[in-house]
Amino acid sequence: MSRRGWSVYTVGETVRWVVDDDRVIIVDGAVPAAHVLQGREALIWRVLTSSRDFRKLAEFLEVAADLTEPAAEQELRAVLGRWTQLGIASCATGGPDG
Amino acid sequence: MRSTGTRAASKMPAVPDARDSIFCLPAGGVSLVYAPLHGLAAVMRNAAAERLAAALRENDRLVPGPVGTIATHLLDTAAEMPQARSGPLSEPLFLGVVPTRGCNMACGYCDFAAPKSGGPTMDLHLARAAVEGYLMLLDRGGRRHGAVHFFGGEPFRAPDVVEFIVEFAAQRAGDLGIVLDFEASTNGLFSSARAEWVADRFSTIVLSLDGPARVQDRQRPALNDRPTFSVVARTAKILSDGPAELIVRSCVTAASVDLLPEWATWISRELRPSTVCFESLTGSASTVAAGFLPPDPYRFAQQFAQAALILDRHGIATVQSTSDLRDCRISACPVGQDALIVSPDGAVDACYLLEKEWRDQGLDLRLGLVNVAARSLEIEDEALERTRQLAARHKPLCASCFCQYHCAGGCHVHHDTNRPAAAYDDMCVATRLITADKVLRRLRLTAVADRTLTDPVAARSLARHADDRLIASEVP
Amino acid sequence: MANLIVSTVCPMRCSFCFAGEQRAKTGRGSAAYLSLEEFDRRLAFLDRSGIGEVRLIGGEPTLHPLFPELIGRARGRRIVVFTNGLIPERALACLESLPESECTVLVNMNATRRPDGPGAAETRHRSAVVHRLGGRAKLGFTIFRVDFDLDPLFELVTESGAQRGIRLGLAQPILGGGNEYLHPKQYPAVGRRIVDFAKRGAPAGISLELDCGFVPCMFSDADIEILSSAGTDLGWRCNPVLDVGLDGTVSHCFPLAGSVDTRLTSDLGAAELRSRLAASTHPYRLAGIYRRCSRCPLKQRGECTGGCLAATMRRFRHRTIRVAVQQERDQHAARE
Repeated sequence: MSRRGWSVYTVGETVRWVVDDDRVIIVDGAVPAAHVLQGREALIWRVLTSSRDFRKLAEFLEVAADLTEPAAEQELRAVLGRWTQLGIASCATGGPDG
Repeated sequence: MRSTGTRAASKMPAVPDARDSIFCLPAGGVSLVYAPLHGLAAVMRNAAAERLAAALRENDRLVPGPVGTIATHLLDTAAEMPQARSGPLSEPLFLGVVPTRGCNMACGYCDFAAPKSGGPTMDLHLARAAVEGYLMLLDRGGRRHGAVHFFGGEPFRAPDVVEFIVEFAAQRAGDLGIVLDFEASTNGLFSSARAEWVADRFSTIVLSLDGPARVQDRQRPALNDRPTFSVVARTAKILSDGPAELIVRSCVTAASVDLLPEWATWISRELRPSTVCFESLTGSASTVAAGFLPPDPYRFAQQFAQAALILDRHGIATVQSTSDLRDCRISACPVGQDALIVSPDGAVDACYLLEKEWRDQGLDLRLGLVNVAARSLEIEDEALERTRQLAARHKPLCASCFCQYHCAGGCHVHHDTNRPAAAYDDMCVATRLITADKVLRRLRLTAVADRTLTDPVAARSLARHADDRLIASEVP
Repeated sequence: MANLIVSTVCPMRCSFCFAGEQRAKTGRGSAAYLSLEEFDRRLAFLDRSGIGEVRLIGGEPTLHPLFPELIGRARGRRIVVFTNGLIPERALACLESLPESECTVLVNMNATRRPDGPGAAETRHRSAVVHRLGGRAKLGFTIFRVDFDLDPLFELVTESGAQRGIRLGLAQPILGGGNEYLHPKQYPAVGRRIVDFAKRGAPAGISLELDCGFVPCMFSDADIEILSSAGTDLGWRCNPVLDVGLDGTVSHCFPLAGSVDTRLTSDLGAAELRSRLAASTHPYRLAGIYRRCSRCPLKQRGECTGGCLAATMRRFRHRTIRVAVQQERDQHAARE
């Protein structure tokens, strides 16, 4: 069985965000451009940026969305991948400590 | 019977004589006429008050002059009597959540009988079910706005539960087109990172901070007996700087009452609260044993008024829970207002106090429970009605008191209102004085307000006035 | 419109001052006053921008050693001078010589050297200046605390013949700075006081003008009616005037100086410079000063900008976030 590697996602240096009543507004100062997150994506952003704890977020998703652990992780990877495509996060492979 | 949306039978309170809601108090040599249900307050000479009383007793609308104008207004204006809620549960006051009964402080006067450490923490699945149940209630009732209030112990002793509820509830509410406000009552003893998160995510924070360091550290030390002022003050400043509304709540003791003006000055200079709430310590055997005595109610009222003047200049409201004049109500607390408060074990109650506290008083404030599997709140119609009627019940102690439509008898659990009318205790005395002071200052009668509070004879005369009803008593 | 900074020197130490970035540059060895040659280039900029008004600010613009010369070169356009009101005699005499129709001197009535507000001497001096300026003077007041008082300004307007509109500004935070400012949470309390003062000023024919950063939700609907009836100039604006610094830096506004800047060029006009600055700040405009702004119908309809942009940008968080995520299982390896 091969060992799973790690991807390290970093929120960009030029990225700023604000949490409003029903959305998260993210501004990438480098472009400049704004992105609005709502619903579950906003939840994921808020939890990740406050606690930076992937495991906690996965647990939240399992409970909140009735997902199994693998499904929750998969959803998180998909969201992080989308953010990377938007340019508000970057991805590098490495160990869990970066 | 579970709540199915059908109307349960309810006992309607007897319609009282509206003139019984018109009051007259001695106020430093003049008479304060106060009719909150008629939207009227006035100060007049004692002789004029006598004529007004006579006019009301005889339904006389032909009295000449200003007295006649007031009499006609009072006789012709329908008294808007606050009513108990009725009908199916459609608009809960809020969803209350007690994520844990544990606490990280050892407040000297705390009678809260829960264990300080350990104790159950709410399970996330239960938390989700409570939120879903609440949102469904709102959605079915067509409500687009709701609130989730966190209580304890200290709610942030279970930070993951709080965080899960806030984030999940916000997301789920958004799916339904509902906006939620989040409020917490907290001791503020946590990290600056946590404080920043709280400031960003909450609408309102009620922060317990009793006074300057020498007061706070004595009255509210940490579990390890360490001082807490510096950390809690830091939390207060972070909250001040953030978007959350900050309400500072200070418990006032005999030792701290004379510091209220100094404390108010510090607050107005260092913080940005919308409101400061001063609550007089309720004495008990355990608080006395811990060395904490309640303040003299007259002194408390005087210092409260002084502090209020200081805070008012900075646009900060000063309240005492039983002297809040903003509304006329039958309950000064969540009880009777369809608040749904969920404990760590899934019980849904009308009150956030421990079950043992209200059962010991012969009260049953249990409303139902959370059904985790069904993700719903199962509320017993009969239980709901029982708590509504508890709030609306006749309170003999309050029957002739001019504060009854604001104070509503105070805490249903801890304040015994089943006593003879006007057998006022210290809480009543303070409430009466502070309420009168507020009414007089609204009328811009500062000198009369000052005199009423600072002249011992005037203060006692008002505080102990046997029957405030204008038509029933002899004008002093 | 564009404000021309002609001096970065000011003896005042107002706690709410948001010209700190400009003053700091002077402290780092830059020139304190605009040269006449540079001033001429500023006037050319105004001409090619189609701006017929010369607005002089600072620091304290009247401290410029060649202030009368600056005014002389600006003649023929409408002149507006922003001052702390403690104007040296030479500059004051120069302003007095201007027709009232061509000149407005906006006097900041709460500028002070003192930590606890203007002292008696400052107040007397400023009052004397306002009397001399008469109809050229417009009183301004920066609200940085809830317990502010406009009654002395009403008296002064009545006695001095100054313009009957008092300009109110909200003290805004310098982005990244430490000035004293009014937090948006305090706006409703301030709004109630403004209504009280508007009602008091109306019988004397004195009206209030709201500068940028005010928002409609700081007033109730009933209060807005009262303000309108009292002749208050209501505007829910955040469209500040460009600030052109001594070194040619063009800032979005003082609170954003050092954060949102561009450079004055010899060919671009104010509109183009404004567009450049707006392009970098436009994304932040999705938000406002409150959490509810982004879903507010007034903002969505363009009736309110969401309050001060600096206060809005201040809400935005930035941290370096690194999250390590285990990659998905390799399916071949799993089968093996």
